[in-house]
Amino acid sequence: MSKLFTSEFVTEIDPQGRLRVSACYQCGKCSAGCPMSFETDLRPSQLIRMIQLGAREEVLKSKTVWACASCATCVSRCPMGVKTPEVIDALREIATREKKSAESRSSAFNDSFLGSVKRHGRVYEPLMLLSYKLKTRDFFSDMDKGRAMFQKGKMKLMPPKGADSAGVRRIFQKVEEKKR
Amino acid sequence: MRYTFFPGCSLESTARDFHESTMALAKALDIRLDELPGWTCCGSTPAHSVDATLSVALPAKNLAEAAKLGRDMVVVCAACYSRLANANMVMKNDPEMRAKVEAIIGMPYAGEVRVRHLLQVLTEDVGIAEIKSMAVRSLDGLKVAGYYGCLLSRPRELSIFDDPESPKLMENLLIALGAEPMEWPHALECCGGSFAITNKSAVEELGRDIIEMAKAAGADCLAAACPLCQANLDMRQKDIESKYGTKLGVPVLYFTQLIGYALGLDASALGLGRLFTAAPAMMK
Repeated sequence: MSKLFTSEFVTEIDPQGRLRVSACYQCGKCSAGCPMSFETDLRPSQLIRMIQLGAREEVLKSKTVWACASCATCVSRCPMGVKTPEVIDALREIATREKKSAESRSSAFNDSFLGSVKRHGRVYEPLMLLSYKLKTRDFFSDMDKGRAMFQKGKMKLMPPKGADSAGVRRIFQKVEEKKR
Repeated sequence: MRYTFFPGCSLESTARDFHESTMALAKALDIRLDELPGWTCCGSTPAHSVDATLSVALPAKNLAEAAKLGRDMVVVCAACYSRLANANMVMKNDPEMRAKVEAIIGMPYAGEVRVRHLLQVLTEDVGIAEIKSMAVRSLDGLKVAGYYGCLLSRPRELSIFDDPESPKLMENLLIALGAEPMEWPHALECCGGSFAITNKSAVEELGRDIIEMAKAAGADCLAAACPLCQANLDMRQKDIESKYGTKLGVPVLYFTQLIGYALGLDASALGLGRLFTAAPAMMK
C-alpha cells in the first residue's frame, strides 16, 4: 500500500493505521450527525483534519475531546471507516496523562465509577456518587433524583453481592503494572 | 431454550424494572436465563475513556467465564451488549491485544461466546408467531415510538439490526401484539447517557428533543431497549418540562414491559410501579 498522508500526531494516536485517521476526506457526514455539536468547539471532521495536520496542542485542549458522548453516529456513517470514537478515547488517555484535560467532571466521574468497580466488582451507586460529589465539590445537584430513585426501589442500599471483586482487582492491578 | 444471562450493574439498581420484566417475560416464554456466576461490571464508557486495555479486559473476564458454560450469553442492557460485543471483536481480530488481555485475566479467550440481545432471542429463537400465539391481551391502538438509542446499532460491526440506520426488531414484535409503532426520526438518536451524572443540561436538551419528537409523531409512549436511555428520559422528564416550560407526560417503558403486558403478566411482576411517568391508562 502507498504511504499514508500522516503527521507525527497521526502516528502517535494511530500507529498501525487501524483507526484510519489519514483517510478522512472531509465529507462532513460525522459533523452533520453529531448530537453533541452544541457542546463542542471542533466538529468531528475538523478534529480529524487538525490531527492530520499535527495540531497536537489545540486538539488535546479542545472541548470536543470531553464533549463526545461515544454515541458512534460518526463512525457508523463514515464512508471511509474513520474510527472517530476510538480516536477520541486515545485523545482522552493522552490529555489525562499530560494533565491537559479540559473537563474535570468527566475525569472525576470516570475515577469514581472505576473506583467502585475496582472495590466491589460492580458499580455501587451510593458510594460512587458520594466519591464523585467529593471530587467535584458539587454536593447539591440531583439530590432529589437520588431520593426519587430510592423511593422507587431503584437505588440499592447494600453493596452488590456475589461479584468476583478479587478477580476484578487483579485486572486493575495488572493493567496498572503494564502501564509502568 | 437456555442461556447464560449477564444482567449488568444497572439492572441491580436504576433499571430494576428492566430486570423484573425481563425475568418475568423469560419465564412466561420458557426461556431459561442462568445468571453468570460472579459476573462483574463491563466497564461501560468510563473504562474505554480511560484505558483501551482495561475496556477489553473487564468484559473479556466475563466472557471467558461464560465460555466454560458453553451457552450463548444474553444481555438486555445496550451498554453491556456493546462492551461485550466489542471485546469479542477485538479478541477475534487483534492477536496482540488478545495476548495482553489473556495474560491480564489469566484465562484463554478467543471471542467464541455468542453475545445476543434479548430482542434477537425473542425474534430469532422464540419467534414472533409463537409470542403472538401466547398473547392474552392486545396492545390494540397503542401508538409506540420504538426508541433504541445508540449502542445496539452502532458501530455497524456490532449492530444487532439488519439495517443499522433502520431497526425493526421492536416494531415487528409490537405490530404482532396489536400496537401501532411510529415511523419517526429519533429512534437512534443519542440521549447523552454517558453524561447522566456529569452534564445534566446537555442530557435534558437531548431528552427534550427525543420526547417532543415522539409526541409530535403522535406516540402514546416510548419503548426503550436500554436502561440508560430509559432512566434519562423517564426520571428527568419533569425537570425537562419545567426547564423548557413544556408539557410532555410521555411514559417510557421497556419493551419487556409492553410484551409482558400482552402476555398477561401483572403490573407488579413487570415493575410498572417503578416508572416515574405512569404507564399508559390501558395497561392498568
